[in-house]
Amino acid sequence: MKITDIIIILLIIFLGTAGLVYSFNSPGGDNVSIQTPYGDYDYPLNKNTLISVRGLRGPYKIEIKDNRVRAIEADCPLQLCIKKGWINRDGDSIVCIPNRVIIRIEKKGQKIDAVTE
Amino acid sequence: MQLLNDIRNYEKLKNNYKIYLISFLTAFSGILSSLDSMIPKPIPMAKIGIANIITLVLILEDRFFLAVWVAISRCVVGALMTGTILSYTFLLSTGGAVGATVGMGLVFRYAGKHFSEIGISVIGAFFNTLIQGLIVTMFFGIDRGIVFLISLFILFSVVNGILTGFIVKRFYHFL
Repeated sequence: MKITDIIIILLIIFLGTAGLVYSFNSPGGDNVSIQTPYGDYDYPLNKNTLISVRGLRGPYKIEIKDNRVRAIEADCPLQLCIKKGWINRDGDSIVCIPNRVIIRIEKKGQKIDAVTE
Repeated sequence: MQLLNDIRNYEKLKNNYKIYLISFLTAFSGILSSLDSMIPKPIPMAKIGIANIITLVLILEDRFFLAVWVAISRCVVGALMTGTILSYTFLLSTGGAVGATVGMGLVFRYAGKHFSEIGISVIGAFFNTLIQGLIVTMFFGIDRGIVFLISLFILFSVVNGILTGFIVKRFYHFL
């Protein structure tokens, strides 16, 4: 093992750690995108609102408050989307599989158009 | 020892024998790659990269094009066997393997005397992760989650690179 090996290993470790730190401290998004089987909606993150949409199994209620989002009422057996609690960072998401509802925080102008299956 | 001699005298071999050598190396790294997927790991998608041993030995013997050739054919054969050819997985593994080989080859060619086996192996693992991250970014766009995943895999690849380097250093003369 030579000295340049150790230098390059330390450099790569520094790069990885910097990426981790960046991904934890990156600025939050400003747009809440909600996908349901009956349509897609966009809401600003900084306005407190109560949203009511229709999922596959019934009504679905979402709350936006203090730059955070959560699901408050859903008709699904395990209630995982409600147990997830508040989300507030760019890229975070709440997914309810029985209702086919996806709530996702993103930055404006960074939306993915479509993903093939 | 025979294998190492054949790699060293590659130009002097008969044409038939060159093909035997390439297919033997491809099969060898394919076996190592499937052994790799059997070892339990803390992160589901991660691989230790023992298949990289063959590439690393070829790079250290200064057989750059042989190494690229073996890396590509190993990925194609592996994808044909597992049935993932022309999918994201195939693109990721081929891009990563070729990227790692090219990176290691360039570093060995232009700064080889400053690095030992371990350094070159770590650089190869790093390039593998980086190229895979770039391919993922190309398809899905950059995101906080993807940056997190790539950084985590880069940290993991340092450990794997050191491990592979040690294995090569230890078993180089048994080949």
